[in-house]
Amino acid sequence: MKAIVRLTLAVLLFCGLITPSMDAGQKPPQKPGEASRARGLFVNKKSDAMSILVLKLVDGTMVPVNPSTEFKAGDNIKIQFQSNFEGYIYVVNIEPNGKRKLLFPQPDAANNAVSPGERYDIPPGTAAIEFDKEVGTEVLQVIMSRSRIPYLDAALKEPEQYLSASVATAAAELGGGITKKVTPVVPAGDGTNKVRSRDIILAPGKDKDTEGSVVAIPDNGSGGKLKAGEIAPFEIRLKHR
Amino acid sequence: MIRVLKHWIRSAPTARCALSGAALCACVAVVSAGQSANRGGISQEVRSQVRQAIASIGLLSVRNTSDASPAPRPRGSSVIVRSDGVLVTNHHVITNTRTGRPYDEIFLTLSSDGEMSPSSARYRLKLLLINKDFDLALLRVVADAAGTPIPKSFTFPTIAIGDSRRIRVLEDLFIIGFPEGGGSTVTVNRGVVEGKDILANWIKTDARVIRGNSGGAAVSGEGQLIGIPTKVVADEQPVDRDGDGFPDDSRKYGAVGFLRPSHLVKEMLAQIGDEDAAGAPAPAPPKQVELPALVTVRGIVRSSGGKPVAGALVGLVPLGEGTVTESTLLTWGSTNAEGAFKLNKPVPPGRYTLKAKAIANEPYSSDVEIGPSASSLIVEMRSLTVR
Repeated sequence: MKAIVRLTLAVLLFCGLITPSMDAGQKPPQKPGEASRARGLFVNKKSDAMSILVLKLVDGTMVPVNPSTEFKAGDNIKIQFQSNFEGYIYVVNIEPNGKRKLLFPQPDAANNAVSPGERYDIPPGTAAIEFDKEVGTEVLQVIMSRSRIPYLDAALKEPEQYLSASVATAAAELGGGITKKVTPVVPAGDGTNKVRSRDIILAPGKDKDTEGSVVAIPDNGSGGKLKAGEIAPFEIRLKHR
Repeated sequence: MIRVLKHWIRSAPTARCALSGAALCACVAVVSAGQSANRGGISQEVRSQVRQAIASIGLLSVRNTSDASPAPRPRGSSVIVRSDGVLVTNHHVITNTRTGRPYDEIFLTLSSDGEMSPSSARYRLKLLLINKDFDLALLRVVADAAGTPIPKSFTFPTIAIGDSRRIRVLEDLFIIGFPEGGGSTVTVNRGVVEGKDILANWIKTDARVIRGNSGGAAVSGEGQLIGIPTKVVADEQPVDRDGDGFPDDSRKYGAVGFLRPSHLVKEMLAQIGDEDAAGAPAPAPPKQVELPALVTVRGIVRSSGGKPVAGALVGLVPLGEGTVTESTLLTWGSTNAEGAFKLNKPVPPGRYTLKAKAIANEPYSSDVEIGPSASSLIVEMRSLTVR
C-alpha cells in the first residue's frame, strides 16, 4: 500500500487549502494516489471525510471555483460541503486582523448536525458571503467532530458571533475553565489530551469540479473514524486582494 | 474581511449590532443608597486590628492664604504610612478644583474626633510627591499648627502597608476615614472586595465610600492598608415622572467604591526614599511621578515545525498567575493567517505570564519580559495531533 501523505494539523493544516495550488509557498507534499485515496475513503466511508466546494457568484449563478482564486471586494461566495459521517461541522472565520467569528452554525440556523450524503451550504439558502474592502487572507477553519463543541456553541450568543470578544469569554477559553457563559474549550484543561486532532489527507478540487476538494482521515493504525474527544480541523485560505 | 449577506441575488443591507454603555462617575461625591449592609460576625481579633489602624488615619483640612477665614476647612482623609510623618491621600483632596493647584496650606488632624479636635492635634503638611494619573499624593508633617517644627524624634502612629496584589474577591475590608455624612468624625464601615481591575489599578468594593472618605484607608482584617478610597461610580437612571417623554428626575440604584491599591503607595514611597525624612531642610517643589509608557504587545505563534498557527488565542496574566480569570487576564488577542497577533490593551513594561491556546495544540504557558519599547514575542506551540 502506498504511503499516505499526512498533513499534520498541528498548524491546523496549511493544506494550501483545499487546493495545493492555492498558495505555492505552503504547498503540501503530494504523492501519487493521495487524491484518489482520499476520494475513495470519502465514497466507501471507511474513514470520516467530507467534500468542500467553494462557489462564487458569476452572472447571477453560483459556480464552483478554485479556492486559490484571488477574490475582490464585492465578490459573493458560498461554501458547500457534504460529509460521509454523522456528526457536527463548525466553520470559524479568522479575519486578517486575527479576530475569530463563528460562520457556521449561525443563530438563525443553529443546527450544524450533519448526516451522510446531505449537501449543506454556508450560509444556507439564498444568503452569501461577501468580501468587503478589507483585504488579506481570510482563513476558514473547518472542524469535523462527532459531538458538539461547547465553546464554539457559546459564540452563538456573542455579538456577531465573535469568539473571545469579552474578557469573560477570553479568560474562559484561555483558562479552559467553566464560566457562566462558556464551558470547556478545545483542548480542555492544561496539558490534557482530552481533545485531540486527527491527521487528514487531501484531494484538491479544481475549477468547475462539482465534487470539490475532499478531506479524509487516513484509515491507518488508529482507524479512520473520529472517536469521542477527537476533532479533525483543517483550513480553507481565501485570498482577498 | 468577509460578511454574511442574507440574500446574494439581491444584496440586502446587513444590520449591525452596536453596543453602548454608560457609566456615571463622580469623585467620591455620590452618596450611594444601600451600598453596604451592617454585617456582624467580626471577630475580636479583627476588631482590635482595625481599631489600631484608626490611630494612623487623619482628617485633612485646607485653606488658601487669600481666604477670609483663618480656619482651614475639611477636605478629606489621609493615612500616615511612615513614622516620621509621611502620609498619603488623594491628589484631588489637596487640590483646588477651580485652579487645579494645591492649596496654600494643608493641615492634618490626628484624632478620632476629627475637626472638633483642639488645634494642638493639628499639624502643617508639606507636599512631597504627586501622581495625577493615580490621583495620589504623599505629604509630610513639618510643623505643628503654630508653625513650630516637629522634632526628629517624634514618632507618628503608622499603618502597615499590605500586599494589595494578593487580596482576593470577597475578602473583607474596612473603610476608615472622615466622611461628611459621618459628621467629620472618624468613621469605619465594612464591605468586601468586589473585583480587581489589575491593568487600570483599581480595587472595587461595596463598602460605603462617600465625600470625605477620599484619601483615607481601606484596611484588611489584619489591619493592613490595602487601598485608598478614591472615587465612586454610581448607577443613576433618568426618571420620567410626568410621562411626557422627557426625564425630569433621576434615581440612584447603587454604587461601586473604587480604591487605589496600596502597592502604588509603596512605589511612591520608594521614590522619595529617606531624603524627605522629617527635619530635612530645603523645602522643594513637589515631584510629579512619571508613569512608564504602556507597551503594545505583538508577536507570532508558530508550530514546532515553524509554521504559523492561525486562530490561536494569546493573553497575558500577572507573573506566576496559574489560573486565567476575568480579574487576572490583563490583555488578549488572537492570531491571523500569518500567526501574527496584537494584544488588545497595552501594558506597562515588566514580567508577565503568557498563556496561549489553539485548537489541536497543547496549551502554552511561559513567563515573558515586556520591554519599554514595542514588544514582539514568539510563541511555539506543540501539536496534539494523533496519527
